[in-house]
Amino acid sequence: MSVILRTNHLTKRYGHRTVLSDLSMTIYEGDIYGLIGKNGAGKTTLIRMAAGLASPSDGSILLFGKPDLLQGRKEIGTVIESPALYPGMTARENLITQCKLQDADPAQIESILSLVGLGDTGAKKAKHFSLGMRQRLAIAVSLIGNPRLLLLDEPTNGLDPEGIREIRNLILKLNKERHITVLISSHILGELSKLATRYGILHHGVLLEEFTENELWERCSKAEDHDMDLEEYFLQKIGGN
Amino acid sequence: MKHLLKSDFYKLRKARYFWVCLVLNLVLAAGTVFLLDFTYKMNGDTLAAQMEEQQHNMEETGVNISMDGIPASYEELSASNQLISFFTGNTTLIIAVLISLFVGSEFNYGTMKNIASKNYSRNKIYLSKLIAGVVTAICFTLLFALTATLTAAALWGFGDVSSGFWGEAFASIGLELLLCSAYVSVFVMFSMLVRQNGGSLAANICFLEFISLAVMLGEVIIKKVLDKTVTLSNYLIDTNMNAIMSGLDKTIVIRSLCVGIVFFAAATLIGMHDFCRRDIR
Repeated sequence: MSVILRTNHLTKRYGHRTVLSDLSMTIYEGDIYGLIGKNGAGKTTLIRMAAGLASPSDGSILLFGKPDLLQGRKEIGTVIESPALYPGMTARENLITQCKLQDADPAQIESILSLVGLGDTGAKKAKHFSLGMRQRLAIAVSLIGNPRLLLLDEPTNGLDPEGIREIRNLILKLNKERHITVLISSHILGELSKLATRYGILHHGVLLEEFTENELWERCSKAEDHDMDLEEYFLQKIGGN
Repeated sequence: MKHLLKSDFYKLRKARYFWVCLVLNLVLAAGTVFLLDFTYKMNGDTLAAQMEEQQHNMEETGVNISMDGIPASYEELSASNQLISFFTGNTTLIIAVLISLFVGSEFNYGTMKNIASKNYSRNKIYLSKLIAGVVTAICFTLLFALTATLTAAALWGFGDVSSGFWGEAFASIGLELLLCSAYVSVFVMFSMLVRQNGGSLAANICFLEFISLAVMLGEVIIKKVLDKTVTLSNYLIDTNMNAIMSGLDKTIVIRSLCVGIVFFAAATLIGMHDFCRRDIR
């Protein structure tokens, strides 16, 4: 399996505050990597650094096996925190803007809009979309240019259960059908456990542990509490640190 | 960078504020000429005396403003003798608003994340905004001048021009557009520093409105305290824009070129350095 994203001793400081400390992690091709952590653990900072929005204080990032992040970012798509859209434009126009930016073929717009379930929004401007529709449009924007890696920071924040399910199914579809690797951070561990194939637990800027889906179930089944799930395992892990 | 520019121009074309500013620009152009027409008709022959008295009073307090090139009566008005004045800083406020919204909204909407997370260096992203801003400002200025000239020609006629008129006119227009570009560079710098619609609008308008005032205040204080006349205002963009209106000579040309280039370069370097250094939230 080829390595899509690797961080080596990645550290980020803001003044005297260390937000990420000596973080080394690996995401392999085809993974849905679930990044778990409390508020302020450093999840968003890590994703922003991988996306080129923040620079490391120490350490390095390799994208697609290469240190040239500028070239590597040609093949990534991002949805970081809230959906970043032009509110005065329609869904189609938002994607056209992204196509022009990336010199991508605008013929892919219709298929992407259908994929995310926004094919029939017509002349409706993004400012009139519901939160779920804006999240889906943000994912659509990130799909322009056929990325190999998607960086999704809390993509289900503020959504109702149906909206969460839609986003989950979309991510699974993108991973299975388009073979897109996904790095996703979320608070909703129950949802993440239905998605992720690999996990990383971040606590106070430190990567406590990385494990696969199978390893998680093995550990949970061996635990005294046989009903232990991802949430219980996570709370136990951070409780001890 | 070609694609960055394509994307930026597309965004401008689709932005409501762009079209609102354009319409306001054209209305202002025609309105300026009508206002000038009305003012000269009302004041008649007393205008020349009033202007001379005003200039004398200002010079006494240490403020140096030239009234050269300004018609002294209604009969002196013509489209040709007002042509350069139509390029002189009439669009800067509208351009300040436009640039503040154009750059600031990328941060307000969060869409700067979509741009900066692609394969473009921060320098290229900054330059794209700057180039798009300069091209738009030049278009706005040219459209203003065209509308005002057509309106003035309809009201007063174009007027007779000397053989050297067009050569000097184009040179003056070139310098005015350079100074306009210098303003754009400053507006883009403030917008990138503040990273917010409202804040950058405030910063740009304050710069436009108060920099001349601050410098004039300095000149007045120096005159009162040290009894020396210094003309720091000669090195401001708007002063040079006005000076070009009175006619070109070697001093004005060199000074305008230097002021335009220095402001443009300094603002670009400061803005670019800050944009490259800071994280994008």
